[in-house]
Amino acid sequence: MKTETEKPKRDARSLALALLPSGVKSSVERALYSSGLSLSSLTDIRLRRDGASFITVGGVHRRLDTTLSPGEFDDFVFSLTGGSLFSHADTIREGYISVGGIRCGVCGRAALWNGEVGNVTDISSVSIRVPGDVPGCSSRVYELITRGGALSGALLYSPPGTGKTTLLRDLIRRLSADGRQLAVVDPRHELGSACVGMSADVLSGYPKDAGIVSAVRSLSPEIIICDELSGKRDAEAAVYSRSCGVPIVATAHAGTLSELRMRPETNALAGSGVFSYLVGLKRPPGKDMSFFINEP
Amino acid sequence: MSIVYLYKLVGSSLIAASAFFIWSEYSRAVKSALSAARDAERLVSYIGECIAYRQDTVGEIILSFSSAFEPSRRVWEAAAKTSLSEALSTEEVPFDGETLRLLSEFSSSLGRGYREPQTELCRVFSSRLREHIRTLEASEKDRLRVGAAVCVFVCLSLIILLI
Repeated sequence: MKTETEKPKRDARSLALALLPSGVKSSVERALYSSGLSLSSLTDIRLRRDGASFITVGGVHRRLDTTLSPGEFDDFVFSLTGGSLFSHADTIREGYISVGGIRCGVCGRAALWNGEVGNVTDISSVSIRVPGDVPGCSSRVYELITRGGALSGALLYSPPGTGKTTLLRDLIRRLSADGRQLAVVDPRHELGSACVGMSADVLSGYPKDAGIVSAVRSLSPEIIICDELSGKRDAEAAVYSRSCGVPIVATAHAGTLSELRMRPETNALAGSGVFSYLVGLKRPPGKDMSFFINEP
Repeated sequence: MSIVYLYKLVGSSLIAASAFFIWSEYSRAVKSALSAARDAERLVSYIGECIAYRQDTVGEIILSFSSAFEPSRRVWEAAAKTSLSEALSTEEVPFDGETLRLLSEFSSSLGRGYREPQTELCRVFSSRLREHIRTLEASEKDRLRVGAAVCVFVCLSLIILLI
């Protein structure tokens, strides 16, 4: 990733390691040591119930020399929830547990209610996304959306794990440093840690559409930051925000612009004028992030 | 001769004072176990209400619980920092055997399920604790009476023997 001052914070990575059972933590440290890479290269930890465990380091998947027994895995999931599975039911239903700003993707056995996932039991896999903190990584996007003094909206798209959330965190800090009044819609509690001490109002845990509408109506923000727009209601909320004169910077999953246009909601968004820029991000394993800027 | 009686009087008084002290300690222990059991039941009910209506974790719920009984408050404070199971096994607990057993059983399942099963867990254990409290209350007067009688008899026996 191109940066002005690449100084990854160890806190978040240390916190991610602290979530692991001691045996797995040692195994991760051994894997990092044997690969000759540092902790700052670690982006992903995948643990499975009685299955193979992997880390992604420097863009490469490496198998750990340990596996978790069903009992150990269940205790690990229990500890991730702070000993309170019930308090994470809503997010587990959506496929993740958020611990101190770290997103841990989970899957297991779904119980369906009226055709929708009601509960997930027997959690069998946990994928910890180790949050990156790369000061300056949002420079290109910051320059775009602040061009000419007025703020513009942008939709950042890339496949999962490319660094969109990391970029948003840095962008929050940059905009806040300018004294801009931000509203940060943070349904997964991943952006809030970047907002401490910033000029940002954080709508933590709100559904994205409700958070965007609430921010526009109540907080008079200069710009709204929101991670991962996905469904029709999110798209409608983004249109509402823009139509009220509040630009929005959001992210979406898509490898290319044509992939972004495959989904009706994001296609409509891309052509609706909500965003002044569509910015594609790419980061091949072990290489820097590159940007593809489109003006719809 | 009079000094001998004085010694006997002082000795008897000391024996009587010791007996009273033992009885008051016993009485305090009986009442303390009852207060601790009541506090435990209040905590379990409170956890159930919080699980039903709030998103807090078990630690946050226990931390927000306002305990009316100092000895168990220390246990709850430790439980909020670690876990209820750990606090019950490591802290000096003021509970009687049955309350401790019920709390340990409760803590082993607490937090390991979703909302409805967890509120049901709290309801069941709250009910079992209430039942146990009723038993303790019913036996409290009898136990205090027996304790007092034993102390008086032992005290008198010792005085008679020594005099």
